[in-house]
Amino acid sequence: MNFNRRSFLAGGVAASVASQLGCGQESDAAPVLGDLDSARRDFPRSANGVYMNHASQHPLSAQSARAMRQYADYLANECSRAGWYEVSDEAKALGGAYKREVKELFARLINARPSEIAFCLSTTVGENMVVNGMGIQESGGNVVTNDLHYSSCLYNYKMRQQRGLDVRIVKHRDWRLDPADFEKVIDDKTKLVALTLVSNVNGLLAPVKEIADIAHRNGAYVYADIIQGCGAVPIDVQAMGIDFAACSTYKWLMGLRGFAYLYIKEDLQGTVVQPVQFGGGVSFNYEPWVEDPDSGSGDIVYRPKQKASQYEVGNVSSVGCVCQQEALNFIHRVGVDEIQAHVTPLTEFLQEEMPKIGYASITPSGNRSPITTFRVPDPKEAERRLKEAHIEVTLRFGNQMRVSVSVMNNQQDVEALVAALA
Amino acid sequence: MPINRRQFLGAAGAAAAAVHAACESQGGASPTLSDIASIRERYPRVLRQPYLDTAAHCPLSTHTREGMQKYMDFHMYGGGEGRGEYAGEAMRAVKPQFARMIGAKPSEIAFVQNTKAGEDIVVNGLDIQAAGGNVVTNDLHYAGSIHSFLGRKKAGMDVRIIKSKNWVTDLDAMEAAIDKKTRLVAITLVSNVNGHVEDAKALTEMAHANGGYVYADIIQAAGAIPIDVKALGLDFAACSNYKWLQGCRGSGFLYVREELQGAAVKDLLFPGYVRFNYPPWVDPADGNEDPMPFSPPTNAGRYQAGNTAREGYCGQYESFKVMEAIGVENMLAHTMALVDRVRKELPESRYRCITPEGARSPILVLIPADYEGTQAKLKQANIQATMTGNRLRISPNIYNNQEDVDKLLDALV
Repeated sequence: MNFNRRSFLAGGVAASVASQLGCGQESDAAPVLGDLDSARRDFPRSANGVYMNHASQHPLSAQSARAMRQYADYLANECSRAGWYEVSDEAKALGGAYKREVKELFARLINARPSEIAFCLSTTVGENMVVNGMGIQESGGNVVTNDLHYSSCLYNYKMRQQRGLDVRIVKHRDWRLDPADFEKVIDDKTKLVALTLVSNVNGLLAPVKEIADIAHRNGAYVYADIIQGCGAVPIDVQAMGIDFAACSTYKWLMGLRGFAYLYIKEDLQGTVVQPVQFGGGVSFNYEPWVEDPDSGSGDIVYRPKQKASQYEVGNVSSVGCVCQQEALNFIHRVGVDEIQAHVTPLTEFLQEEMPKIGYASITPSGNRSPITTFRVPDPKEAERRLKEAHIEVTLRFGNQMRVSVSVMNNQQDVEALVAALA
Repeated sequence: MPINRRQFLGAAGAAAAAVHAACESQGGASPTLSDIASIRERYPRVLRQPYLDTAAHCPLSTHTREGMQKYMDFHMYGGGEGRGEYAGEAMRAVKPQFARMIGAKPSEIAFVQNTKAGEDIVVNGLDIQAAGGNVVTNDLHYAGSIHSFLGRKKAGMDVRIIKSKNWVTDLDAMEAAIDKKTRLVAITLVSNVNGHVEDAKALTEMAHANGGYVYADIIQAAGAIPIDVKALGLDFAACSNYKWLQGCRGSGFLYVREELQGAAVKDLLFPGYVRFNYPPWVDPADGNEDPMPFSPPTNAGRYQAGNTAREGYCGQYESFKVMEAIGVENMLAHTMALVDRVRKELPESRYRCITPEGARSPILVLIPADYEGTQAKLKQANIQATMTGNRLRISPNIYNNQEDVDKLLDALV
């Protein structure tokens, strides 16, 4: 990008930000993955016990935290260096440029175009923007989803079902999704197939391409909740046949809550998905607003935003966006393939060793996501041992333990978990 | 017109005393703000130049900054040293704080991304078009909202945009436009264009008499002027935090009157969860329960979907503490003294005021005879205000003082 926020913000501290990314290397060079001590140092959380709960929330890196600190400093003082007009232009340049960069970085991560990305508040808001914008119920259509779609999304569809929408919920089979089960319920009235790419329950990487093919054959579209996938597993919305997707940034995108992305395939914008919020402004073309009204325009000139931006209204969390600029650059520098290659041996180790100590896995073997989930024989005892060993994972649903590993974890961490529970 | 210096100092002095009294009465836990000068110290930016532009955005204070920082530290380091507890305390406190500020109940407040998102939640939830209803608004409503209504009009909604008369809402025309099919009257309580304060009480009476509801954009009002949604009869209101609430972009509040929640205003974002009551989720299943039980939120939380910008609300928690200690009425007494003085001192021949006489808001808008010359003077004096269209907008806050106004007047007169 030709605009560099760091050149704009307080120069003194900023210089050190980039240089730390590669742990002493040039900022453009990728950290050496194998030497995970470097990535660990980027995440101060790793000095505070063993953290393997990234599916709940990914800790911020020191670089992201510093960028946000600088941004907050900027909000408190920096833009006062100039007069109002310069401030205004500079602030506009800053706002426009870093947001453009962030959209471009995210689009690249999922193989979409920046014009297909809208900022939104949360994954849930993104999915609802799609569902509300499609007018499914009015057209007599149905929605097909499954019980490994995120629980909150299922709540959404159950509520819509209560209000009259035809909703079909496919059940998983032994914690896997079988495309044949989707084939049975998708029909020519199906407008949307909604699924979660990587399950927050057991990390299942859904067979999205097979399901999307069935959906598209029937004239339906596919929405994917990618919050547990994006940044952790390679995503190619085009190859996977995903028409719409959304995710917040506080999990594998290493960002904050309250800042999220919505992907809407370009040719479906404004046609298949009508905006239910309207981004843009107006200008008034009559007295006393203007002294000489332009006779060629109407009283009020309508200026809608274009492409995916038409789904955005108002201000987004600029702090969240600054955080993403840093975090997405980090993820691209390391590479999602590399991140996946790094965590796979760790999850394989857990899949191998945990059953040996009585923790049966409910994550299919060979599943290439950073999340593995096990049945806990004695949840109370497990909780006690984890606390004692300063290990943080998710314990829920009575007897499930979800372990989610990221770049900041290493072999010692997974060994520590097995040792603590054995 | 001569400066009525005594009058000005009187008002400022009264506000300072009130601040002092308010802070003293709060005891040790509250911010100790003994006078206006000490408040200024908390806003680094305004110490650098006369900053008269809160209507654009409020520079971060050190206390708000610290609240945000505490949350970001929690997100980076995890719990410990009170970080997790602080985030929990702040997130629990902000809705009651905002509710107190506008005279609502905490159960009537939802977190939203921003003002417009809040307004759209209301408009979509009212299902106006399907019911054959109409919307009445006016051209002093926020331009972004007018844009939304025009978008809806293009999609077939009956939208009636009433033109203001000489920069004041034409209440007669509003009344004439409101009919039995009016589902919503949408207004901006304090106009960002000219600081006009809408006669919300009159409009809610007109709307209610016809079975309609009233939404108010309160982004230029909340934290700037006292608001009592019950006394004004407002049904819905929304605002972002980054102006007079002295917070950040990306976080805001939506108020939905209790009786209208889930009834008049459908929730269309569905925050909630299901549980699974069948094998292999649970084995055996509980025979007394549904296979997938769920229970919807019962308060305004039903309009708020997913996770919000917590660092923003942690900062907001600190902003509210200080504003509550001072009191919005005292803040307005302080800012009114400043805008009144500008209004009196600037010659009408060269700076035509388009803020209605008697408008009690801290936003003052003038049309300079020499726009470019005014721009140059402000630049030279290093004064921050908004110049847009052909207008100059001055919007002082609690951190401004008489010296700032002196500098503005020196530059422009």
